[in-house]
Amino acid sequence: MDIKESKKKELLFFLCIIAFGFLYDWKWFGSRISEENLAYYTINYKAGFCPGGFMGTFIGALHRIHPLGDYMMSVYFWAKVGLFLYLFLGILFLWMVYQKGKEKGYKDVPAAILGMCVVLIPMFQLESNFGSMDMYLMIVTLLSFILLLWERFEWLVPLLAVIGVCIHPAFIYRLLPLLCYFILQKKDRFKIGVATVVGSVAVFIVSQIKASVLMEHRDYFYLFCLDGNDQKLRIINMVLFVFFMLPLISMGCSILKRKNEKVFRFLICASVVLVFFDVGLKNNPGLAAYYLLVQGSFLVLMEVILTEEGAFSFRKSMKLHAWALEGKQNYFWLIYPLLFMPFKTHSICIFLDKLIRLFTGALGV
Amino acid sequence: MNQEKKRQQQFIFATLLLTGILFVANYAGVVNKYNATILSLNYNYGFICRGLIGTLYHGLDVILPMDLLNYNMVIRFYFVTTLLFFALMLYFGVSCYKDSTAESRNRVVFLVLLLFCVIAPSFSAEYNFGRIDMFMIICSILGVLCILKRKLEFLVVPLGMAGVMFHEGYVLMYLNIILVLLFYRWMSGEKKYAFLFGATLLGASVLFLYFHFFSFSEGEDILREVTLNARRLCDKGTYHISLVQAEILGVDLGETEVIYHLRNLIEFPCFVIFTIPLWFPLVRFFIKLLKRGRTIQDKLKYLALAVGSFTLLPDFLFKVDYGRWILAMIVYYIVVLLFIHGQKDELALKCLNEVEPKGSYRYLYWIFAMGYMLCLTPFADVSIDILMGRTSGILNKYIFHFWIE
Repeated sequence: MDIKESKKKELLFFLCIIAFGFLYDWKWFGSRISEENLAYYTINYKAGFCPGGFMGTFIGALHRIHPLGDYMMSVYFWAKVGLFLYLFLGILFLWMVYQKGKEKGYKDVPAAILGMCVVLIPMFQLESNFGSMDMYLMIVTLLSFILLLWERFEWLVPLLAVIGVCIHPAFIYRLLPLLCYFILQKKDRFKIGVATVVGSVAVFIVSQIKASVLMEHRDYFYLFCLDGNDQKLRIINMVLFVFFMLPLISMGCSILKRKNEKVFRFLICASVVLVFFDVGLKNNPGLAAYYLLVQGSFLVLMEVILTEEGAFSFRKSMKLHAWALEGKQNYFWLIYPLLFMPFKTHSICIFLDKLIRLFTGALGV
Repeated sequence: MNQEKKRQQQFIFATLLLTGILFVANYAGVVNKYNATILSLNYNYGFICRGLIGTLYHGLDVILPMDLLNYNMVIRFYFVTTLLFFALMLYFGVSCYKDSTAESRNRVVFLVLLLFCVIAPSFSAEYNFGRIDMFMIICSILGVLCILKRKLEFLVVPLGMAGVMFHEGYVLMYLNIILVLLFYRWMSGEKKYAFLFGATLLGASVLFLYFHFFSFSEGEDILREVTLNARRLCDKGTYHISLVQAEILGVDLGETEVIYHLRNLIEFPCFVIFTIPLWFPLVRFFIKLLKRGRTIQDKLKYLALAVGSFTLLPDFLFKVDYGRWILAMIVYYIVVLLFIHGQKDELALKCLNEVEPKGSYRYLYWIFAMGYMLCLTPFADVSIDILMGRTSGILNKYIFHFWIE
């Protein structure tokens, strides 16, 4: 009876996640791809191995095999498929994490999953994000995570990482550190970790060299390249975002500080700093906010399911930081990011936009 | 004791944070022409329908040493009243929190947060910012506070009447909250509430009938003055013509609303399906409660709590603002649940405990409910919300073909 009841709860829990995903998708679906995102689909490998040409080549090939009207219509269709795949893989990943946590008997896994779900789901539906390369980067990453959790076909992970770099070279610092962190949680996966890093870096270097020969391209490591009011606005956006996320940051830090893995911590910190400066200040603060939350919630989720110590510190942190009543845990902060979502591109979200406008208006700036 | 105070402060902080973010995110800094035009109706033109808010506004104009009769001041007026409204709702939430049992306080916190997930975006967004419904809710919540605190209870009668003076639709939309709670107390064996129940119902009904049948008698005479006044209060002088026609001249706009009825016909079933996770536990709770009631009085009072929102049925059948009706229904059930906690109704709390998921899922359910609400809000009027508007658009385009976009 108990097992049946628990299965029912599990099912209901995931049905709720699916319903939530559907509702959010339906509400915010932009139904067109912005010109900025569309531009990436015009880059392909016809002229050589240039960075960011993978999706253009791949969808171009699909278009040739099975044309759906003109090329733009094909791009739109496959972007929709990509969005569906992203949501499907996200929920599948959460399901696998749930099963893993259940095996180990950690009671807080559903809460950590909910936190992750709130960050994962409401992102790529919005017009400014729909069909962006980052959606495919996340698909690749989620697929890798699923394989690592499943503990089968792990040899595919380096290949997926290479595809990630081919889709967008920024994969190397946006998601690769996180992937490495997950791979190297098990000592017997060291070779896979090395192959992933070496493969990705090699492809990155080759594509950059080719790019410098083939065409003028954006220098992905050229930080602080913009000036003027846009730059100031981005800085204010990012600073305000960090300020509003302080409760979550302090929770995350208190969960992660127990880990004694300096190398990984350095990698993740480097990734966070690069995302903050490059993506956040240079071109896309909304995306930076998304990546920062994804990195944070992935790490916490991994901590919770992989170690008892992590699960314990999560529980303790929830008690410390949420307004815990009667010794029980409350999860207000888990839904907190949802108040800011969906994230946009050139600014983080509607709330911060309006807040900045309010202050600048009041101060007469 | 200190610990308890700290928890309470944390609860208030969380509610303020949530409300602040939702308010800023949804606030557009504009008042739509309907909500501005309504301020032009006042009792200088006789005891007319929906004239109370305009009268209060014009009264403020006389008292304050500044000219309030322009659009910018209308925005500021509604901004301040909206903030006061949120403050009152928070006070109500905190009162219920303080009065509830220690075991049920977590649920009160979530109910209050859920309430703010509904009202904060709905009354901050462009469409309903400054909507008269806000003032109607204020009347009902003040009434509920009087009943809950057992102080100045006689005020429920004038509050009920004031609600009708704000908008005659109050009788169907929000008066039910006060009436149901008075009935609840009456059935709990406190006879004086029978009188208050009767007086509130009578007062509100008389006013409703008056506004419905007699308040348009001098319509033609005052029309010119009202429209002049409305032009001053609205953005760029464009006022809401239908509102003036309907409320001053008594013109029946029913024929123009056929298309809206069709829209409602598609949206409402979709909304019911989409919100199954929200209303299903509520139905289970009330069924359980009705089964457990020992005496006839118990069963009657719980039945009243369960079906009190059905006063909205005529609105659902004959009117088109489904977004507002649904908002009224949600507010009704959350306020009733909060009242049950403040009242410490043991049987109801026991049934709530049984209906709620157990263990850590209990809190996750509330988080989901909040997430759901955030998806569904802000509520509008004819179209329930963005989500339903989109759904009905697609269904109409591919299946029903009721209207051409």
